[in-house]
Amino acid sequence: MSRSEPTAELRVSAANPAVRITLVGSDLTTLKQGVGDLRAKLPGGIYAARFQAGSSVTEQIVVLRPEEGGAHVRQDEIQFASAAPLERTWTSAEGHQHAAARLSRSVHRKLGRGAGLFVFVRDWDRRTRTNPAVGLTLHAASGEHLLDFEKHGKHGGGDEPAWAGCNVALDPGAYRLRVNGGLGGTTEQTVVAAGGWQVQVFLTRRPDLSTSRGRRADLGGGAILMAPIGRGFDPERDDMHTTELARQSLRDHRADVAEPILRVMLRRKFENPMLGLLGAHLLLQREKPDQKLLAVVVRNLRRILGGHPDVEALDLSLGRRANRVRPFEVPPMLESSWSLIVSATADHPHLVSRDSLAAAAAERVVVGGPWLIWRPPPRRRGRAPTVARPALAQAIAEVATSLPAEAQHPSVALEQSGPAGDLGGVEADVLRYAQKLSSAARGRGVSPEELVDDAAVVETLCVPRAVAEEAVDGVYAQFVK
Amino acid sequence: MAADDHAIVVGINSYPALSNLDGPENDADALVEWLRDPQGGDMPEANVHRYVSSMYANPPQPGGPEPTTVSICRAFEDLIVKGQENAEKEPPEPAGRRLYIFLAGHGVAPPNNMDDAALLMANAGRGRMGHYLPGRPLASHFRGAAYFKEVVLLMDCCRDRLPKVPVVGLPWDEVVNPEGADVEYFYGFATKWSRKARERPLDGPKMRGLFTTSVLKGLRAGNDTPERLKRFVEADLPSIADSRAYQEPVFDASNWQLKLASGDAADVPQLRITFAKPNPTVTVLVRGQGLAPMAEHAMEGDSWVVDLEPGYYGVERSDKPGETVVKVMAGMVDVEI
Repeated sequence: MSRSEPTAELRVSAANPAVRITLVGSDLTTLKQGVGDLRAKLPGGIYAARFQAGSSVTEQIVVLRPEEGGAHVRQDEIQFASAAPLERTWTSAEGHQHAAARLSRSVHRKLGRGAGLFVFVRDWDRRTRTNPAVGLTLHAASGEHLLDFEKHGKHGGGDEPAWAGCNVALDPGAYRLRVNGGLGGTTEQTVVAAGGWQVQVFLTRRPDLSTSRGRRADLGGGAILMAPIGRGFDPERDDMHTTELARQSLRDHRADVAEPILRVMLRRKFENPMLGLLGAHLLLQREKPDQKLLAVVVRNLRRILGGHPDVEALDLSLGRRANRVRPFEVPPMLESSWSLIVSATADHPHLVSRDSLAAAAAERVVVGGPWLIWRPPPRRRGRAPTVARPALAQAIAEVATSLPAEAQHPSVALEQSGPAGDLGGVEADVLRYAQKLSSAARGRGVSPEELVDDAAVVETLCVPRAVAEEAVDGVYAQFVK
Repeated sequence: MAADDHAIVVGINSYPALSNLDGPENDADALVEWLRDPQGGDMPEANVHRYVSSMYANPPQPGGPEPTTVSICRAFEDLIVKGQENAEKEPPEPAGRRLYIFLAGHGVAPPNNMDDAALLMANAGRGRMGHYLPGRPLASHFRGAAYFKEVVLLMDCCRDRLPKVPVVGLPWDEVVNPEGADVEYFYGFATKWSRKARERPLDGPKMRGLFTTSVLKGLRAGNDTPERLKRFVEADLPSIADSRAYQEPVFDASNWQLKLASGDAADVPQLRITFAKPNPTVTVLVRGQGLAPMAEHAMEGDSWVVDLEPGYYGVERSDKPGETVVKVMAGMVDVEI
């Protein structure tokens, strides 16, 4: 009989009960996992406690000596990265916090009244000292140039990485924030200025390889917050912190935000409506969204923000009043709002008209989320002639039937084999769809008509119905005699 | 030399219809370097096939962005042809000993398959997310046909679960070889299903994928089996990731003791203990698992270097209570007492 090795209790706990804990041995072997609080009886040794919240992680090492009793490892807070220089984020800098707070309280340009837009761009490193707002411009929804942030804002940096900020007074409405040039080309997104509110957009410049050329603000990684006009940016506010965590959860398509946390977010929309918008979308990602709660949130957000495309998109998800919703002239701010709108156009084509900015942007969306970002559409050359053809789904089914035999297998690269050579963008997508439809129909021994409906076409092409209709016109004219 | 090993290494930085990345091409180059290194993969240069965005940038490709599934599948088809030819020999031979498949760039989770990741090709975009290479089916094709005795698949890409991503298959006829059941495999994915993989400056200003960086660091530090490499990468990633940008790698293997590297470790983990005030009457002790003493040394000279396995260690001196705890992963780690 051997004497057993002395053990002691090692307790590991996190301030947030949702934090995942992994206990690792000194040889890097995983010993135990738990959530929020974990206890283990262990022999003396060196252990690492790994705390994980979402994609944040931190680690603490502890020495356990049974002769001295147990040990307790506590984790208070896990910091995260944000484009906004918020307190308790590892990417914050004191100079950035002060500059953003100060600049957000003074107006640098008056283009209207009743609403505000504060844009703050910063670098995370000191490799370049140029103005971070270079290439950043504001446009009316029509595209009219309104403001050059590099010219009208303030910039500095001193010993810290460079920053630039500009606060603009605006009439309530939708605007286009554009980043000109850069490695990824020109991109833009909608910013909706709501009456009585200041929208605060925080961006960072994306690091380049070894050259400083082409460094531009990154719209995709931006943090967008809201505060009542006059209050300005407060880096210490808890709701700003929570808004950023909510944005990152939406970006990561996380459907596992705990319900109590979600309800707190939604309650705080009155002081920070952005939290309400993000919280509502996180609610929709759940397997069974609480429709009653969502309806209350939408009603309150509409009261707070007025006509806002993201609020109207959320309303569409309730499936009640699509007929009464006015057409979306501009795309919404959030990609998940855009998906709701696109789906709704299958039955309600009027929601996005072919001549709107929303339709033009639909063909040039940059995928990534959570913000809806697109490459500016080229000037429209005029509408293509309408083709006499059957309804959407039927027309695609006829295209599928009319495809040359050699182009009917899905592994055939249409771009290189001819049929799609002259087609671009959504038209090429229509053709690929028809190709897959043709293959699936042959596989099942049915006609293509039996496998397609209008909603499926819109869902698959990811564009509003009006855009899909026009693209089908082009393909139908080419392939169906 | 591993003259019979073959590698298809893909790193896509440029996505005209998505957002560009900065790391995949650097990661592909770093892997190629390891594959050719006599202490690493020890492969002949001709067997390492590298496909990166910059190869297609100048002049721009008339058919649109490259590489696409068509061009990469063509590269695999050269190996398939070799496999088919060798299978007809008497006696049949495999096309080679080991096939490495490395895919880095934007990625998605293919629909209806939580275990797989797919590399988006350069021509992917909104509404065109079907332009991808699914990792596991690709590796499985070569396993099932037994064209190689071993298949190593490494995927440094996101596994975003996006709505509406279509199911895409490979364009090759299924080949079933009973010997496929004995083909050893090792798969490594940068992140879990529905999660992001990250890149950040890790090699000076050079952007690198965290996963590939950690895998290569682990291999060079002597973690040359899937079992050791998995433990190393899981412990290393929290140290090199942003605090808010952690990713959990996923590994799968048929043989966790498969030998991955050809030579000895090039970057053995070492602990250098520097003595602030040398004192030959004092002893320094390094403790490891279970607080067992691993090595001891008098505090004479300026410093003492100890070779160690990756892990957590305690360093204590005989004249003072308590210890300094250090994490030693690869290369030289410094601690002063």
